[in-house]
Amino acid sequence: MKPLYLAGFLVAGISIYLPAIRPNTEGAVYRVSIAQARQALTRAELPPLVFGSEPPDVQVRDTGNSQIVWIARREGEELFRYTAQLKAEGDGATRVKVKLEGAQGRTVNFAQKLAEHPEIRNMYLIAMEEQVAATLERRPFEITRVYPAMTAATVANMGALRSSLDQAAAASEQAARKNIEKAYRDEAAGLRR
Amino acid sequence: MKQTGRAALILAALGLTLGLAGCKERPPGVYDVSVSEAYRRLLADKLADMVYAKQCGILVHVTPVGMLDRQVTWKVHSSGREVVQFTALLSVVGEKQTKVEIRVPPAPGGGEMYDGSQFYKRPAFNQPLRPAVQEQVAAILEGRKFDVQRVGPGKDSVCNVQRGGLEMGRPFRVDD
Repeated sequence: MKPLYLAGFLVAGISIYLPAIRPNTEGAVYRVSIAQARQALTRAELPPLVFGSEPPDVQVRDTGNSQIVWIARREGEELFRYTAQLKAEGDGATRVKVKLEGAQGRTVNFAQKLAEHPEIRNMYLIAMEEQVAATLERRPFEITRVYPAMTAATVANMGALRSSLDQAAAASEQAARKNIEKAYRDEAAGLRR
Repeated sequence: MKQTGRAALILAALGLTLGLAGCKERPPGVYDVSVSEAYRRLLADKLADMVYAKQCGILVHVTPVGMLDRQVTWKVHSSGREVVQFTALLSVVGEKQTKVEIRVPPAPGGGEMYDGSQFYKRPAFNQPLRPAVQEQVAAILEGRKFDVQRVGPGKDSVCNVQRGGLEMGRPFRVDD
């Protein structure tokens, strides 16, 4: 009997977890008119936290044909863009489908990076879907809804994360050592700080 | 069958004997070098690895001073002022073995200098200093690199803050 319970829990856990780490391809329906949705979304920012301590600059465009586009740039170079496609679903309801497209910038091929890391792509999409939902449902952004996708992205990229942390630590250690050596050289040369 | 069992027992006993022999350890502070070799190596060393790992925000200079085959004292100066010293006392254990005892001067308010409970406005080293000195001496006499992992983290928050300044290229002075 016990193995059956365990299997049941496993299936239940997986069936809850899997949808939470994949974007909603059908979009979601909100109880607002398409005009209200458009108006609210043109004021929405990029989702908080998921882009780290230096989020990219964003420009929002209302293309006038039921699309809102968020273009993310860093130092003027486009990195990626989110597109929300709006479709009226009867009176006072709107279906919103969110897309993410990476850009082939001058220095960064973000499209390729997103294609190589589908877990990170999913996390960015789910974060924006939550931002859209929070905006149209007039509630605060809930980062907890992004956690499963964030966990999946972290686990899938653990090696790269560890390696970049190690590189950052080594660079910091090297810079500190150089500064200390310079302080001793300055002292030997009679230069006081 | 009996023979196989006996052979296994013998092999196990041999393994145990070899294992025990392999685990034989020197007493703490005893190194497999003659006293003159220990003296020569310690006197020639300015403890650069330990200084780098444990120094705080002031610039320090280490000068080894020796009494032939008996002791080596490292005097630590900053801006011309002696800030601390510590000594390795050497004694013969055997022809090729030397015992090293570390001495750190007593602190004015009790305990010894840099024992982990002292306060210094401009500390030279993170506290406790003694384990770092012991590790540095062991590294020199065992012919290996100083391993900061064997020392443990420093407890002196004043030191940690001032070390941050030094690492950013803004050293402190002992007479600030």
